[in-house]
Parts: sequence; C-alpha cells; structure tokens
Amino acid sequence: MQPPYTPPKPPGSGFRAGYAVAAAVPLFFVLCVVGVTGYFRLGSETTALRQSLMGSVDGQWKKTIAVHLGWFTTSLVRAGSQLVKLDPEPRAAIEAVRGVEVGVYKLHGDSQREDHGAILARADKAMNRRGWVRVVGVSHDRDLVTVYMPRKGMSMRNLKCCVMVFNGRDLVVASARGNLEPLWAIAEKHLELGLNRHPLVTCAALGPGLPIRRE
Amino acid sequence: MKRLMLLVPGAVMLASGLVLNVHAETLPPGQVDFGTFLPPAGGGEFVEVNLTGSLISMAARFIEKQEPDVAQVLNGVQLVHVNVIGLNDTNRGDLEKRTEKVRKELESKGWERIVTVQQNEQKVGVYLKTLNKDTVQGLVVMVMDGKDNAVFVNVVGDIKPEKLALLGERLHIDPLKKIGRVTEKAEKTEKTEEAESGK
Repeated sequence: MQPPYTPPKPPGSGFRAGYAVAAAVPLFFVLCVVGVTGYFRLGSETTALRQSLMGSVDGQWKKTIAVHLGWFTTSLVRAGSQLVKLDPEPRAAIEAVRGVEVGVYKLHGDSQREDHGAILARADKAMNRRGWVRVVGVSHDRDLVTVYMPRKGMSMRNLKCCVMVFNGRDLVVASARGNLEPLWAIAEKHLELGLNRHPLVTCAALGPGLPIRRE
Repeated sequence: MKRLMLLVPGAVMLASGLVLNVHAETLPPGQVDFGTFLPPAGGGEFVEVNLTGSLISMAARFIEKQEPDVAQVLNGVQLVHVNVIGLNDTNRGDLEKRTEKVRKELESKGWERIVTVQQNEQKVGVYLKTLNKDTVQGLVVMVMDGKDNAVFVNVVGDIKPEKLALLGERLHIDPLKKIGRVTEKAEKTEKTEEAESGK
C-alpha cells in the first residue's frame, strides 16, 4: 500500500520561521530600549522649544533632568487607579492627564544678558512651523516665560500646552496633554451642590412661584 | 520654452498675490495687526497675551452656570490680544510712531474714536468698530504712558468698552483689568464734561 500523498515542503520554510524569531527577539529588545529611554526623551515640541532657546544663548548647557510620561504610562496609571479606592477629585486629576514631560537644564559659565527678542522670534518660528502659537510671552529683567498652544484642534477633551521658563541660568521646558472633561464634571458637581445649598434654590424647592426652580 | 520661462515667474507672483490677498481678507473686521513687538533691550517689562476663540469659549463654559452674564460676554469674544511694552530711550520713538500709524489706519478703516485722554504724559485712545451701529466687531485701546509703558489691546468680537475690566478679571489678564479701569474712568470724565457743557 502506498502512503498518502503529502505535498513537499517548500525549501527553507523552517529556516524562515527561525529567521522571524531571530529577528523578533532583538526587535523586542530594541523596542524595550526605545520604550525605556523614551521616559528620558522629550517630545518634538518641547525639544524644539528647548533648542530654540539654547541656540540663542551662548554657554554650556547641562541637563539636570528630563522626564517624559506618555499616553502608555498615563493609561497604565489610569487603569491602575481603578483598582485603588480614591476620592473623586484625585481620580478626576488622574483621568485628566494624558501626557506630561519636563526638562530642566542649567547654563554653566559666564553668560551675558540674553536678547529676549531674539529668543522669542526663534521660538515662535520653531513652534509656528509645528502649528503652535504663542499664547503668553512675559519678559522682565532676565526672566522669560512663554506659553504655546496648538493653533487648531483645541477642545476640553484635547488640551495641549508647552511652557518655557528661563531666568538667565536655569531653563525649564514642560508640556502637558489632557482631557479636562473629568475635571469639568467634578467642578460642575461641586457647583450644583453649591447652587442647591443656595437659599433661593431651597426656597424655590419648598414653595412654588419663586423665581428659581430646581431642575 | 522661453514663453514657459516667462510664464512660471508670472504665475508664481500671481499666486502669491492671491494668497496674500486671501490672508488679508480672512482677518476679521474687528482685528488689527499691530505688528510684532519685541521686549525692550536692557530687561524692561514686556507682556504679550494672545487668547484665541477656543480658549475663551472654554473659559466661558467654566463659568456659564455660575455667572451666565459674564459667560455671555465671553462667548461674544473671538480674540483677545494684549501687548505691554516697557518704554526706554531706545524704543520710545518707535512705539510712538507705531501708535500714530495704527491710529491713522484705524481712522481710515472706519473705526470710531470713542475716548481720547491726554493727561500729563499719558495718552489713551479707545476705538470701536461697529456694524450698523448696534453690533461691536472689535475694540482697540492704545495707551502711551510717557515714562513707563505702551499698551496695545485688541479685542475682536462683541465687546463694550465698559466690559474690558470684567474681561481682564475673568481671563486673568492684569493689563486688561488696569486698562479697563482707565477706560471706564475716562468715559465717565468725558460724559461728565459733556453733561456740564450741555448745561
């Protein structure tokens, strides 16, 4: 009796699976490294803002700290917070944050008075290219504070801002993304409670015909 | 080919002209371009606030239950632009020239000057752009405080001058609060003077 016909294996298919596994392992490590180092790398807007200032001020810059918590980490924190009993306010704060990053740098050596006009012009150019506009710019003596926000696509659910603070020696760049809806819900709740305690509303609830009525 | 070589720069110039024209047309009627201001050399005061419609409507949403009247004022505003520039010997002349240029531009574009104060070294000018005399499209306040600073304010939207201080208070813009009080005071003085001259 003849054995049943089995189609011949294409040459080298076993090798291909081996190659895929061999490629996946280093790729996984690379992704892990990128993921971990990502905690210490700032995003493109914050980096652009930092570079625009560093390019305008002579001297040697040293990084004190740079931390970046992106959507993955904040999602994990949000998910983790569901397992913990929390008051509504801190829970709303955790729910609101979608990403935060902060970088602190120090200028070493003697530095001359900076030209804040040139710094602002350079920062504006860099941020405008990315679709961000300066909402606030304050300069006094050697202190400079700027706040940038996206030109379009801003809403309570998607709020972004980028801040730069420089005092002639220390530079802080930070950016945050958030959804204000949970915070807004808490604020509304407090407001309604406050309104319900209002004497006129209490009166309206007790007797009809008064100008304010509880919905 | 030569024709094409001539046509390309022509087309580019025409297109750029059209783009510039469209950009100029998209500027709302109540908006004024003061130009770019730079912080004064030597570390003088410089404040620039540029709030867009989306941010203002967000602020309005926060207070609409507590203070519906204020929320209504905020909802009518599309843009708030405030510039405070500390004056020194190097920038005073330039800022005075710029104030004069903006003043002429506003007058040529049909803005109505509603308040003018010239007291000591302080010059205040309040301009209003209206549509059919009922709807305010924009407001401009320019202050040259001889020794201290120059202030340029442009509020685009339906805003009355007496609401400026309120707007500054709710949007936490201190210069706007101050300028609102100055404007209110100046308006009151003008009204008193008018009433007195009428008698």
